[in-house]
Amino acid sequence: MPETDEELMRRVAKSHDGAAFRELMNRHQKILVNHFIRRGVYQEYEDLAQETFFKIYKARKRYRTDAPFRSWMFTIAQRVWIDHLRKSGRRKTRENAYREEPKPEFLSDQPMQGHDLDWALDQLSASHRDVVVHSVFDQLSHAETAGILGIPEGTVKSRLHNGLKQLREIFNAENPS
Amino acid sequence: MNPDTDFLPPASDPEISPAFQDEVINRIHHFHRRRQRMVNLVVFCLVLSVSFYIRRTKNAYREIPVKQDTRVASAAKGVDWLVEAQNDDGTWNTGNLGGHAAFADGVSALATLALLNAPDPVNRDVLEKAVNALEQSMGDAHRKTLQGPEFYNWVLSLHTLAEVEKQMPDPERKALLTRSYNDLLKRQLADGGWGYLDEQPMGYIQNASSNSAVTWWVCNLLKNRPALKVPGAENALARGNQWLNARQLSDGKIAYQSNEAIVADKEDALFWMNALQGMKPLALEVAGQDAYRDYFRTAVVQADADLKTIQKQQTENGSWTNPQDRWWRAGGQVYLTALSVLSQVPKGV
Repeated sequence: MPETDEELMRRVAKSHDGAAFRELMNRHQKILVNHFIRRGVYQEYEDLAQETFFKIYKARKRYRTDAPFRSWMFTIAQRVWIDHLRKSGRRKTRENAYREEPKPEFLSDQPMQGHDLDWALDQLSASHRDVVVHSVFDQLSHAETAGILGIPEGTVKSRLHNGLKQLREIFNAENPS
Repeated sequence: MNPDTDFLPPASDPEISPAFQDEVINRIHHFHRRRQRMVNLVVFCLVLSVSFYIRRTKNAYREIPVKQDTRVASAAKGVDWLVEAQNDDGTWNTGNLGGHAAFADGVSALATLALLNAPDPVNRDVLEKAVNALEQSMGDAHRKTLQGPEFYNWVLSLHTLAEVEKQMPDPERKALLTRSYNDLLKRQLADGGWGYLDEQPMGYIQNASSNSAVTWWVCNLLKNRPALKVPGAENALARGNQWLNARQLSDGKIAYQSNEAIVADKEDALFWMNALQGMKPLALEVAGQDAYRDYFRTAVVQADADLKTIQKQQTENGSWTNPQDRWWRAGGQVYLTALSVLSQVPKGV
């Protein structure tokens, strides 16, 4: 039976186990890359994912063995994301990011119905998008999302509801049936 | 499938670079190396700081000498003034330069000693003229008495000529010095000390007993004597030192005579021989009030504060003038300048 994420992380924390760390990266690198793409990073998503793993390694001694690894990983990813926003000064202009940052080929070549998913996510406000990405695409619970974003669980629910509603309207408008 | 999200189109799924994991691992290795370097740097700085602190703590108790250049420049200027003030016959006057004529020979000996120890060698003619004058005054110096000024003049001349003999050996001078040293030994008193042998018209001494000032001068002469045949010199020196050591009081001061009621509080210069003779150390006193004391003191320890005080008293023309000096009225400007020069180019006393 394969080791759980938590067991692997415990090995990394305890004995700097390189093989365990590589296995963790194998399992979560795509998840992290997709996470940053869903948040609107279309060029540096690999850099941010790597930065997240690096910070996970640096913070390995602080990993609480009883905490779910996935939730802890996204907490660190959230800090990386905030740092990225600070560095790039994009906080103010992130609503225009789609237009400013050209999409890579793998996104534009996808056969989509109407506009693609990322374009639709770009239409949401930052606060709604954060909640939708964590809850829907990262598949975190409301409590975990609330903990990562530092907002009440009720707010998560309402933002998720509103965010999904907006997305539904966007796709319905594009594909009237 | 979640009915709330099933309207969403499939999300894109990018290919991840094959070097993705290797780059993270390389970064971790780099991080470890950098952290190790930082640790090494911190340890190095720590060791450096500790060693610097230890050195600084040690140095806090050590006198820091005034810069060599400053001392040399000050002494050289003083020597220039002495050369200017020298008489044609090689002597120096004291009477018209703040001192007393009775001490002219002794003060001339001091000035000659200063020329002998000048940082830059003085003109040989100037030095030879001064030495000849001293030898002349010593020529008939087998004194019947060793009175105050006479003793001072004689012992200072002997001291200087002994130094000259070490640097410039001469058979005639050697004979003169041998006679003088033998004369000194004959004058040692039964208790091991030396003293003024006759009552003085100037009131220096009231009886013929050993005193610490005279005994120390003679011991110093015997200790630093040139290569001469002086039978019994070592024994006489040992007895003299023994007499001196017995004079030291519990507070470190030295009694002037055997009778310890008379404390040598006017013989501060003698205090500074303590360190030389392994006696109890005394508290430092302010420089610039007694050129003899400063001379002996700087011979023991080159104290920065003392040297600065001495240098501050130097006048524009290179000489030293200080009517507040304890022996000013006896030695005047030549005495003060000679000793101030010697204080800055210290030699063993």
